[in-house]
Amino acid sequence: MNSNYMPQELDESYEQLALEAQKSPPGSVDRQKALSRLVNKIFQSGRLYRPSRQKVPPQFQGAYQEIINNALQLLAIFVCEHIDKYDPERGTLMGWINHLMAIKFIHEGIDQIQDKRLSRLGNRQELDEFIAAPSESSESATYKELRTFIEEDPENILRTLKMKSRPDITFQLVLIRRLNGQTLQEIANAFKIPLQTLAAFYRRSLHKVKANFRDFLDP
Amino acid sequence: MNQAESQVIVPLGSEAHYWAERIYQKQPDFSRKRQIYLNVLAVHAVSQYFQWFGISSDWQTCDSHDPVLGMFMDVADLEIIGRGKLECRPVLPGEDHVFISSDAEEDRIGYVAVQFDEALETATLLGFTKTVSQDKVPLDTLESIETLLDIVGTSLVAPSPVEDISEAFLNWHEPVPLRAWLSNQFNELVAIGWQAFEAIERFITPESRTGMAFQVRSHRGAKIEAPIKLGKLFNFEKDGDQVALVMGLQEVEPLETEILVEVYPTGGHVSLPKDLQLLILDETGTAVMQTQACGSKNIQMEFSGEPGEQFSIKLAMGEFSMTEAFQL
Repeated sequence: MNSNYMPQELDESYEQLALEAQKSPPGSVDRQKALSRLVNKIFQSGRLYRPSRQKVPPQFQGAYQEIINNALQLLAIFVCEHIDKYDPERGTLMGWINHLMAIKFIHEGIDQIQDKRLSRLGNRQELDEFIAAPSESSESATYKELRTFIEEDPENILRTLKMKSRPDITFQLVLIRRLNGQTLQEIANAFKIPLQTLAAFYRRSLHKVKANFRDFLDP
Repeated sequence: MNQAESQVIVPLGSEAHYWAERIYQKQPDFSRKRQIYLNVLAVHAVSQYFQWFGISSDWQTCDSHDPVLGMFMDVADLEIIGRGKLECRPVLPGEDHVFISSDAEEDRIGYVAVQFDEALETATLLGFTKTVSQDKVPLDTLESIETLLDIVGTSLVAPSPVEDISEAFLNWHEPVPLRAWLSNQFNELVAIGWQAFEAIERFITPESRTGMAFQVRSHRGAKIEAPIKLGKLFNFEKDGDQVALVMGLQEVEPLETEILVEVYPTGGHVSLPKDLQLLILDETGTAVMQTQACGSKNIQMEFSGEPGEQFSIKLAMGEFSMTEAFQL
């Protein structure tokens, strides 16, 4: 049976968390912690309002969970900001929450779909399949060009960036190792230098030359 | 640390996936695409969490959202305005550690482990650590997310001006459960002004009671008088008009209840105020049925609902309206 009505004793812990949050000053860490616990309890309640599918416009049927998730984020922000407006005399906390979802946040959740394109690859399995492709075809043409650019360094940009304390270590050398899959830690070990020094050099150099790599992004 | 209690769930919606997709798509190196996608989602999960408390964060200008840097760095940084950067590291289902790339800046205020479900719809902030001394940090050594709140500190929250919050939220009341009505318990309804129909019957102008009043389908389909009916008198401030609203309930099946709503004039008036409207709203506030008096003697409306369903009855006249919410 579909019933949102629950016995009074189960609702008390929601009320307790709400009152605890109200007792602490707005913006205080204590209030944040109480709100954090309250929102999570609401999210895990299993009693949140979910519109029937007929209430979702046909063009958004495939984005049902995305709509709910958009609404939940808006709900969380609202409840945290306006927790002082909850009055236990008027009803249960979950009653208030579900009213807000039904009357406002589901609609706004749908509006957000209009603004942002729905992701198609939101599934780890699909991502795995994507990456499991054989190495030859898993590289785009752009990537091959990128590798060539780095290895040949036609404008002498990469090899002229050197570590102060170790001029034998050029940015080009480090970059090629990174592209081959080595971590900075592994490279630091190989060159017998501290990770922090290498990492700082790597990041600084990268920021210096990053404009040169913009052409290698996939469109 | 009690792991489950201190973890935080953040539902991922349009914005998180929009940015993850936008940035990962640009990666020419396919083997990095997955990491980028997850890094961006993790950053958004943490950013969304802080939004709950009005704590501003900026990811637009961070390395994590720079597709060029993404070709050469594995970073997932998020700038907390006025505080510093957090590194938000993805954890896949089934993993027992979080991998912290050595590409991350030394001066992060901390590192957050963010786990995803298979569908990448929900993020769980598992825990937090201020410093790292190794690439792989076991999850059970992390501190609770609440520690993160201690470090990031208080937020300056300016509540929205009251005008932004519509009457729908401020005047909300728990919908009156009608379940009790069906078993003859009327306390909650009496508390909000409903009485046995017989108690208000004498106020209704007799001539306005036309037609087959209070008819609902019985179990066998024949029209019978609704066995339980309550009434309430409503005064419209504007003109001092008063009407009687009558509700009848009949359980026609275990999963279906018929509801009859009728409006009658009182005080000797033979017909209802011309511009009086009766509306039945669903739980989203959308009118699913409505009718206007237009000089008729009464209004009658019939609909059915399932247990757990909510509806509201709204009476409106000009600018004045009042709504009562019920739950079957």
